[in-house]
Amino acid sequence: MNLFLLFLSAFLVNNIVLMRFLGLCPFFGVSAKIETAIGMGMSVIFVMTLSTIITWFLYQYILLPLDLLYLRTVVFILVIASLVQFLELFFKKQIPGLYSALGIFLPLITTNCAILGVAFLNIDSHFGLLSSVVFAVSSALGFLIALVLMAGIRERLENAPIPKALKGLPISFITAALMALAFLGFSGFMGLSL
Amino acid sequence: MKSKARQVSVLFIVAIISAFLLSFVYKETKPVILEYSSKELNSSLRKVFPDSEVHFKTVKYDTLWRVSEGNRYVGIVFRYGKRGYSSIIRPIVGVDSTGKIIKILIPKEGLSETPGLGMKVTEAWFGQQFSGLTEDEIWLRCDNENGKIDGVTAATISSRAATAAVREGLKEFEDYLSTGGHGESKWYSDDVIRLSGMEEVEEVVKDKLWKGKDRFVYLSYKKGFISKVGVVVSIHKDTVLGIHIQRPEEGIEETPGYVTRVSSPEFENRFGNVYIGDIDKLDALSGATVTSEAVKEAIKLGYEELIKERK
Amino acid sequence: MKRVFIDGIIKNNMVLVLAIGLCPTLAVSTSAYNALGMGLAVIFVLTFSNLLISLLRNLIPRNLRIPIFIVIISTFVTMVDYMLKAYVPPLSRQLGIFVPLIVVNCGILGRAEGYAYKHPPHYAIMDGLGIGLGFAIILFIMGTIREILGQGIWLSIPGVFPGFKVFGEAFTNSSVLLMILPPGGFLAIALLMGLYNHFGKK
Repeated sequence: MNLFLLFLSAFLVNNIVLMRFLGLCPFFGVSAKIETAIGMGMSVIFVMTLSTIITWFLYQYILLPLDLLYLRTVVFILVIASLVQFLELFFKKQIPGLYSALGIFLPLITTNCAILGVAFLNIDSHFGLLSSVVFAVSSALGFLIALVLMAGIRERLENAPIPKALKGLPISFITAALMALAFLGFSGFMGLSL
Repeated sequence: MKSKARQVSVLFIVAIISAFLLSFVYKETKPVILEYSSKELNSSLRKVFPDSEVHFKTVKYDTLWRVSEGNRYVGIVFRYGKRGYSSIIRPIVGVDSTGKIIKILIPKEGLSETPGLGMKVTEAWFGQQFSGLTEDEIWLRCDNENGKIDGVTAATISSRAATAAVREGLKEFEDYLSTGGHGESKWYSDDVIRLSGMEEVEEVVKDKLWKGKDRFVYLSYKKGFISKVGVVVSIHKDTVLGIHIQRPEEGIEETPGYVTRVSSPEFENRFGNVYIGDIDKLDALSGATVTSEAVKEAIKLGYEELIKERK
Repeated sequence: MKRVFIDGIIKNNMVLVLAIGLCPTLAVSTSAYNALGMGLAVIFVLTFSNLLISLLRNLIPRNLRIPIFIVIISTFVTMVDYMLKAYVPPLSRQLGIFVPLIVVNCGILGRAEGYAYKHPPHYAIMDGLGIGLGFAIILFIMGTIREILGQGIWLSIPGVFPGFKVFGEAFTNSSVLLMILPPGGFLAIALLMGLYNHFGKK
């Protein structure tokens, strides 16, 4: 039950994009079409889960016992960057099908603040291993759904009469504002708070 | 090959310089950061117990503090939590030795009630209502005829929770309050009995040393790698029956230490039914040598105290 | 050189033009003071990392440049993080994880790669300062808008100064709370971008 609530919290109530402001660059950059949104979302699920697990282990078994907490930022970001490089090569060679679907998004993910952000949030919330995995997957799913929803709306917006000054990014932000407003409604859902 | 080696060595050099730079900044800022958080804690405690002559001693981390003036016990400060609308409300309450509330404080940090409504319980006027009340009066007016607390309009759930937190916290720490100075040992008693498997306390020999039917139990501290490690030791004559290592949330001293790995049953079991002289021979936990040695030291030190008392 | 600096603020404005560094912009602009703090932190990191990378640009090998940039940038970020924690703790708490997250601000890595690596130090510094300042200014404007509309005060500094009550007591008690919540952030930036597009094109 606890894990289910954790999932709900990370997926909806505390959606990392609309509520916590993580992962906004790709959110606006890649959400023009639903296909690309799904592609990006899937890559994020992959990378986010793996990187959260790896950083969790590094934190628990190296940084913490050796009192090296201040190296957290440097270590985590290097791990994420290396992981992404490694995944790119791995996909290219071993799973070409997957690479052609998701590969192009991988380089963009390194600077996706959501990945590093979730790694940090995970540590700060003092989760155990299982909870960390649930948290990572749920957050990534939250990212996916926010992205897909945004893409769906933007595809429709293509044909709508928008004032010239608001075309492009501004109208996307207004859309995001409305989405965030809707998601705010989830707070208090099943007793989960912001 | 040569150029590759050169490239990697540049990376290495940069990394090493970075590590040095950061450890320098860390060393410089760490004491400042620690000092700030203890100053902050003290200032909150003083807000609910305004006497400038008193000093505070942590009995249980972030839960209970003993207030004394010199050696004289004058009251407690406690924190107790109750679930509000969308977060847990944990007021800080100062109580004098007769059980009357001096002042309370509901901090904004960590609280996420509805902004503009539930969050108003953090405002001064709400907390002020509690001063001087007795247990019977700590109810919302609408909940109980003796109640003297006005809730926040349209934020009943938050108000009710905050009030209940104060009231129930008072009840929870009643024992401690009434036994005042010697309450400390008794406060430890319940936890200690539970953790050591001792059936009942025959005698409280002194602070942190209890005598049971078939054993003694003592609580002993030694500095580990980062902070103090606390060990509850059950001992019969000169054989250690078992130990329990303090978990961070059971913190009985000011800074709960990082002893997560050592405070595991796997490590604690090594000390079951061991002759006191053999304690040194036990294996330390790999990767936590300093802390493991601290545990052993704590056991031995407490034992020495025990011998002194028995003479 | 001055050209580089000014371009950084206007033509290449991180937020309004490049749409980079959005995460901290929206998360931290709930008050003018927070925005200012974050802005200064970014200026520090950007300027120093640009400087260092530019100074070392002939020593940094091409194929290992990204990890080296990352180490340098994250070092400065960590330095800022701990200095804030020690000397301005309330600000540090408000900014939270967004200080360490400066390291993934694509703007900083982007400038390191795109500019600092290819230009001499005095240009790199100007670029860093300009871009950083442009970012800080936008952040500050957003912080002001959101704080005034959302709380009715301006420049409140927790623990030190309760802020100027811009619209009077009544407004402070029932302000447009939405502005300091997530949707408000998105709205504020949409507004700024729209204005920039409208007037900037002229």
